[in-house]
Amino acid sequence: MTLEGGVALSATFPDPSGAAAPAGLEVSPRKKLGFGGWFALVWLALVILCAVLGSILPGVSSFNTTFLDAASSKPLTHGHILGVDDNGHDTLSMLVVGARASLEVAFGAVAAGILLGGSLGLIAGYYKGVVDLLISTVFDVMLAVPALILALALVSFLRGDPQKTHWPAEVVLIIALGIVSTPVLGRITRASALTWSQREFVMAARAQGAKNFRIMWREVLPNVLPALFSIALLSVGIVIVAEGGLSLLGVGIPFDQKPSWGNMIALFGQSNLRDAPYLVFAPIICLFLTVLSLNLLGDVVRARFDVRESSV
Amino acid sequence: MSFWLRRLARLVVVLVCVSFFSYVLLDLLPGDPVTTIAAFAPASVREQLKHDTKLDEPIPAQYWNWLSKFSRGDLGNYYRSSGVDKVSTDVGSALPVSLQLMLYSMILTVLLAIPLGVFSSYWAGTWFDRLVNATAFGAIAIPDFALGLVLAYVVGVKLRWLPTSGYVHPSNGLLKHVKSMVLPATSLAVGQIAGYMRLLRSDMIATLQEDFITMAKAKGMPSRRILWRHALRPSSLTLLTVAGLNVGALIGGAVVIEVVFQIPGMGLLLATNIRAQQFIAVQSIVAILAIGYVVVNTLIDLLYVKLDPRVRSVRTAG
Amino acid sequence: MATTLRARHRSTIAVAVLTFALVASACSGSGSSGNSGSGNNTSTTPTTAGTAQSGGSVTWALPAETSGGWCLQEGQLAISGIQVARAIYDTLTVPDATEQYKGMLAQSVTGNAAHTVWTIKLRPGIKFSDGSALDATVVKNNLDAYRGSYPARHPQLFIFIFKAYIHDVKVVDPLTVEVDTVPWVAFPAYLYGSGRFGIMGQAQLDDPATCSSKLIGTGPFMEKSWKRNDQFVAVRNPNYWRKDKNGVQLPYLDQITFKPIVESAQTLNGIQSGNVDLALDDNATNIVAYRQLEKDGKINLTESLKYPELAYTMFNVTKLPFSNLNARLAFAYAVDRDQENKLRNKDVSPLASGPFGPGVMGYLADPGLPKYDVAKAKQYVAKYTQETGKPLEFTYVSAGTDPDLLKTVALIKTYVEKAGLKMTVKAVDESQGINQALGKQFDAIGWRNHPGFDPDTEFVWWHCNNKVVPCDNLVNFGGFNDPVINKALEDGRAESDPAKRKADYETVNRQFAKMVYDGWGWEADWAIPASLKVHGIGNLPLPDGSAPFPGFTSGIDPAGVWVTK
Repeated sequence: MTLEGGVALSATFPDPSGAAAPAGLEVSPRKKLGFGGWFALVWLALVILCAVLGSILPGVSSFNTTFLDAASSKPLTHGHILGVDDNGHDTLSMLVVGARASLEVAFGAVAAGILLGGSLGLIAGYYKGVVDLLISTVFDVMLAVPALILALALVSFLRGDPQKTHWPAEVVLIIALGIVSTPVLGRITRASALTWSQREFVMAARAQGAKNFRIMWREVLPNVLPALFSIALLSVGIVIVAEGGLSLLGVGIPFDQKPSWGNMIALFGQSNLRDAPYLVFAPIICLFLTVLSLNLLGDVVRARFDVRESSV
Repeated sequence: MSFWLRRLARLVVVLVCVSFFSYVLLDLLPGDPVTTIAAFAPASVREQLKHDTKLDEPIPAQYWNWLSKFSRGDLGNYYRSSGVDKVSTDVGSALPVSLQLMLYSMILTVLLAIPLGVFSSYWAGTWFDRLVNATAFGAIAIPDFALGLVLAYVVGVKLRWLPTSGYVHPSNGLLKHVKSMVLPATSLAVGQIAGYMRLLRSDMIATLQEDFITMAKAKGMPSRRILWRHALRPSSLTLLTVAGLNVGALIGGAVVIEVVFQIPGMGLLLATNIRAQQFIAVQSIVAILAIGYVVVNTLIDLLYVKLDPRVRSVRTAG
Repeated sequence: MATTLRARHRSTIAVAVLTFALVASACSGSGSSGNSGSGNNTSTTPTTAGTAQSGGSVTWALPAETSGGWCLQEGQLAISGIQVARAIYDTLTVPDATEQYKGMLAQSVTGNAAHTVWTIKLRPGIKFSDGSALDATVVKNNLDAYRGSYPARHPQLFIFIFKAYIHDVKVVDPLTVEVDTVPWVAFPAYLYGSGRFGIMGQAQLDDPATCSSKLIGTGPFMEKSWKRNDQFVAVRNPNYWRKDKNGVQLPYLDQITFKPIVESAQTLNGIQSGNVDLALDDNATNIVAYRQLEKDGKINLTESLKYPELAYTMFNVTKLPFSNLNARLAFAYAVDRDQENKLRNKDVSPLASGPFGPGVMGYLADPGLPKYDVAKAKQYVAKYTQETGKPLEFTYVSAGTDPDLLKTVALIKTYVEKAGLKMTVKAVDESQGINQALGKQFDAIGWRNHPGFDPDTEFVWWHCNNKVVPCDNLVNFGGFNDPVINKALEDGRAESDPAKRKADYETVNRQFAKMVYDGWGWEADWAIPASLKVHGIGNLPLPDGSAPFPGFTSGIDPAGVWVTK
C-alpha cells in the first residue's frame, strides 16, 4: 500500500516529504548519472575527504587553534577565506572539522539502523507469518511517534542530567537516531525480502535443503541491498538534518567540544544572524548540498535498480 | 463492521504501546529520576515526586498510575526548588499556539501546492514544469530550520518586512499576530509544498491520460474545467495520503521551528523543559505529541477508507 | 549520625534554593551597558518630552520568566521577576540618587543610636489591590514571613539573612512597627532588598495554594493575567496611593504587558519592529545595536553604569583544584580579561575590579588583581601540580544555555587551555545552575551577583559564622571562610562612622583580590531601550521628591513610565 509505505518514509524527520515522494511516472528504465549525479558524487567525495582528513588538510586548523586577534573578521580578510567567528575560530576550518562530527553521527546512526532494521526486516520478510506480524507491529509502533519527537525523547532521556552523563554526546545521538531509522530501513528491507523470498531461486535453494540463515544471507540479502541502499542514502541526509534540529533543541553535540554543521547552525543562528550571517549560511549551504546530493544519488540508485516505493 | 473493529483494535494497541513508550522513557534516565529532576528541591517536593510517580512500585503499576492520570488530563507536575506546579497549565497555553502554526502552514501548503501541482502536470515537460520540479527537489533538501534562519535574515534583518522571531497573540492585534507567524509558517510549509506538489503532479499526469479526460476533451469541454473539475477530483485521495504522510514531519518540524522563532508552543515548552531537566513534563509533552499524531493518522486513514471503499476490501484482506 | 547529618545537610540546601534575588546568570551571559559617549548616566533619554501623559499601554520585554511566581518570601526572583514585583508591590524603603534609603510605604524608618531598634512609621490610607488596608499588622506579618517566623510561609533562604539578626518585630500602633535587630547600620537597605522585599496583602500571605500566582500588593499595577512563558499583564491600580509632583494620579500607564523573551536577538528585533515598546536588556551585541539605533534617532536608550552588578567566575574553594590558591592564580593569570571584554562584552562596559562596582562603598579601582600573564599562569599550573601531584583539571558550569553565555565560557576555555589548564564545560539551565552552586557541585561556575547596593547587603554571600572551611553559610557558594573578610563584614555592619565603614569594605575588596576567590569579569549592567513614544524611564522622583536610584540592577519604577499618543 502506498499509504503504508508513505507513512514509513515520512515518519522520518523534519523533512521527509521529498524522500517519500516516489519517482512516480518518471521511472525511467536506465537513468544515467547526468550532471546532477556527478555533482553529487564529487561533493560527497569532497565532504568525506574533509571528514576523514580534517585538520591534516592544508589551510585547515584544528578547533583548538584560535585566531583571537582576528576574531569576528569578515570573509576574505586577514587571510581567512570564510572569516573568523567571534571566538577566533576560522570558519572554513570549522566546516571541515565539523563535517566529521556530522558524518560520524549520520553514518553511525544509519549503520545501526541498517544492522538492526535490516536484519529484522530480512527476518520478517523471509519467515512471514507470526514473526512478520510481530516485527511489523514493532515497526508500526515505532513509526507511530513522529520521528523527531522520538529522537528528541530518546536523546534527552538517555542523556539525563548533562552533569553526570558518561556517554559522549555523539554516542547518545547515534543510539537514538539509529533506533529512529530502524523501522524505516526495516520496512523497506522487509518489503523487498518478501518479494525476493518468493522467487524461484530461493524456492530452489530451500528445496535443496539449504539452511534458512544461508538462504537469507546468500540469496535474499544481495537482492535486497539496492533498495536498502537507496533508502539508506536518503536516511543519511535525514539524520544529518536531524542532528541540526536536535542541536537547536539543545541536545546536540556541545559546540565547545567539537563543531558539527548542526551545532554551528544552532549556535551562530541564534547569536550571529545579524552581525555575521556568513557563519550561519556556510554550514547551511554545506548541509543543503550534502542532503541534495544524497537525494540525487538515492534517486539514481532507485531508478537503476527499479526500486519502487510503492512496494514498501 | 469487522473492518472498523479491526481498525479500532489496532488503534488501541498502538495507543497503548505509544503511551507505554512515553512512560518508560523515565526509566531510561541514567541514575535516580528523583535526583535528576529535583536534585536540590526541598524534601517535601522530592517526596511528592516519588509519591506522584509511584517510583517504588513495579513498572506496570507505575504505568497504570500514569495512564489513569494522563487520561484524566493530569499531565503531572514540575518539581522545582520553588515548589510543585502543574504542567497542564503550560500545555493549555502552548498547544493552541502550536496548532495555529501547523494550521497556517497547512493552509499555505494547500494554497500553493495544488495550483503548482495542477499546472505542472498540465504543462508537463515544459520549462514551467521543469522549473517547479527542480525547485521542489531543492526545497526538499533544505532543512526547515535552516530555511527559517535564511528567511529570518533576508526578510527580517535585511528587508525588515517581518519580525525575525517572536509570537504575538491574536488578542494583541490580528495583523501583528499574522505578521509574527508568516516566517515560521512559511519555513515549515516549503518542504511540505514540495512534497504535496510532486505527488499531485505525478498523480495528475496519470489521470490526464485516462479515457474519461480524453473523452471530455473530445467533447470540447474547456481545459480549465477539465483540469480543476475532473482531473483534480480523483487526486483528492492522493492529497489525503500526503496529508497523512506529512503530519509527522509537520509536528517534528513545528517543534524545531518554534525554537528558531521563539514561538511559545509545545516545541519551545519541550526544549525548555529538557534544559531544566523537568522530565515529567517532557514525558507528558512527548506523549501528547505522539498520541496526537496517532489519532490524526487514524482519522486520515478512516477518511481515506470512507472516500475509497476499494481500500476497505484490500485492507481487510491484508 | 553521619547519615542524619548528610540528610539534613541536603534538605537545607534544598531549602535554600527557594529564594532570593540571586541572579546566577553566569559569568557573563552578556554584558551591558555603559554609555560609550556621555558616561555613566541614567536617563540619557530625552526625558524632556514635556509633561507626562496618563493612559496608554506598553509591551515590556524582560530577559526571563519567573517560573516560580511571586510569593515574595519563597520565590526566586532575578531582575525580570523584580521588575514585575515592582509593578505589583511596594517596598517599605527605596534608595535615592545617592543610595540613601527613603520611605516608600514607610513614611519614615528611624533607628536608635545603637542601630538596634528600628521604628517604621507607615503612610496612612494605603490600600492593597483587594481593598484591605496596609497596617502595622500586615507589615509585621510580612517581615515575620521573610525571617521565617510566620507559620504560613517558608522562606528558606531569607532565614540566613534575617533569622540571627532580627530579634523581634512588634506592632506598636496601627501604623507603627518596631524591629529589634543586632547593631545594623544598613538595615533600611534590607527593607528594600534589591526591590524584591515587597509587602504582600494578608490574603496572599495566608494563601497556601496560589500564593505564587494570585498577587495582592499595594503597587501601581494589579495582576490581570499571567500566562507563563508568554505574558504577564498588569493593569493600572486605580487606587494607587501616589501622585506625581503636578498632582497627577500615578501610574501613568493603563496597562503593561510584560513579555519574557529569552532569546536576546528577539528583544532587539522586537524593539526595532515596534512589537516591544521597551525592554530590559543586558546583551552586549544588542546594546551596540541599540546605541546605533539611538544615534539614528530611532529609539530612546537609557543606560546606567552606576551601581552595577558584576559578572565573574566563582571558584569552589572547598575542594581541589580551586581549594589550592595556585590553581586560582593560574586561572586568573591565564585569562586575557581586556580581550575577553572586547570579544564577548563588545567593550560596552568596563572590567570589574573586584566585588564592588563603582559607586558602591568599598570600590577600589585597583585592589591588586592578577594581571594577564600566560607565563605566570603556567608557573602556577606547575606549582599546583608540584604541590598536589595532579594535573590542573576542572569542570566549568555554565548556568544557562544562552548562545552568548556558551561562547563566553568557550573563550575562557580557550584561554586557560593555552596556559595548560584542562577545562570541561557543563552547560545547564539557569535554575539547575543555581542548584549546582548550592550543592557545591562545581569547580568553577559562571556567575553574576552583587548588585551595587550598600555593601552590607553582600554580607550573606560571604560571611561565615564558623571558623573553619567549609563555611557554614550555604549561600557562600564558593565556600571560602576568610577571617579577614568575616571580621570586616561584621565591623562594617555595626560601624556608623562612614569613613571607618568604607575602610572595612576596602579591606574586604583587597582580601578578595589577594585570595582570588573569584575570577572577575566585567561590570554587568542593564540598558533600557524604548520606542520613541515611551518616556519616564528611571526618573520618577521618590515620594519625598528626591531623585531616584541611578542603577538598574533592580529594574525601574514602572509607575513613572508614560507614552505619548
